[in-house]
Amino acid sequence: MSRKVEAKKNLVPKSRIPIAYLLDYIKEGLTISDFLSSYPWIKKKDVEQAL
Amino acid sequence: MPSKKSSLQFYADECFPVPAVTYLKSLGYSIIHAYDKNHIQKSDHFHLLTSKKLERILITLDRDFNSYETADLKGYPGVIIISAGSTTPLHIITVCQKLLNFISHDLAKESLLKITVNKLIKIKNGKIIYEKFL
Repeated sequence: MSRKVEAKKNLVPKSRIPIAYLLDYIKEGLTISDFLSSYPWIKKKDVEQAL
Repeated sequence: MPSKKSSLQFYADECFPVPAVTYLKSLGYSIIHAYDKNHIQKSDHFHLLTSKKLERILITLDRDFNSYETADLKGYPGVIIISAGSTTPLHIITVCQKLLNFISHDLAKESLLKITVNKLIKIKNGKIIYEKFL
């Protein structure tokens, strides 16, 4: 199987979740807690660092 | 005769929000999240191989999987990329509800399915072989 390898950029620290996902939550008036509910292995301090 | 729900089995990668998985489980679908198996901070390829090993359709929000458009997915249960305009659970669930009305094991098999708010595109070996408005 061949495929292009794309670099992953702008991720929430210590995760593979793009910061753009986090911004979706903020834009829709959701909270960091809501984001952490979706990705419970991510630590709050790392989310705050991303912002 | 097994129900459609029981015959569909999904594996959600780590980009897929956990509440959306919980919702799909509540509807009776068999879906495992990468987090359930502690598959966190793994590569896209790892998740793809895991879906094959588990014989489950990989469901993801990760657009990096678009790079598999031209890949030969022979032997793979299939990949579904959800693009809901937002990655929050409510939007993902809305698109999944539309998708689950007609998704089948055969539709996804060895293919890449791109699902948006109003369209499904099935790609196999780099070619669009099916399109449907939702």
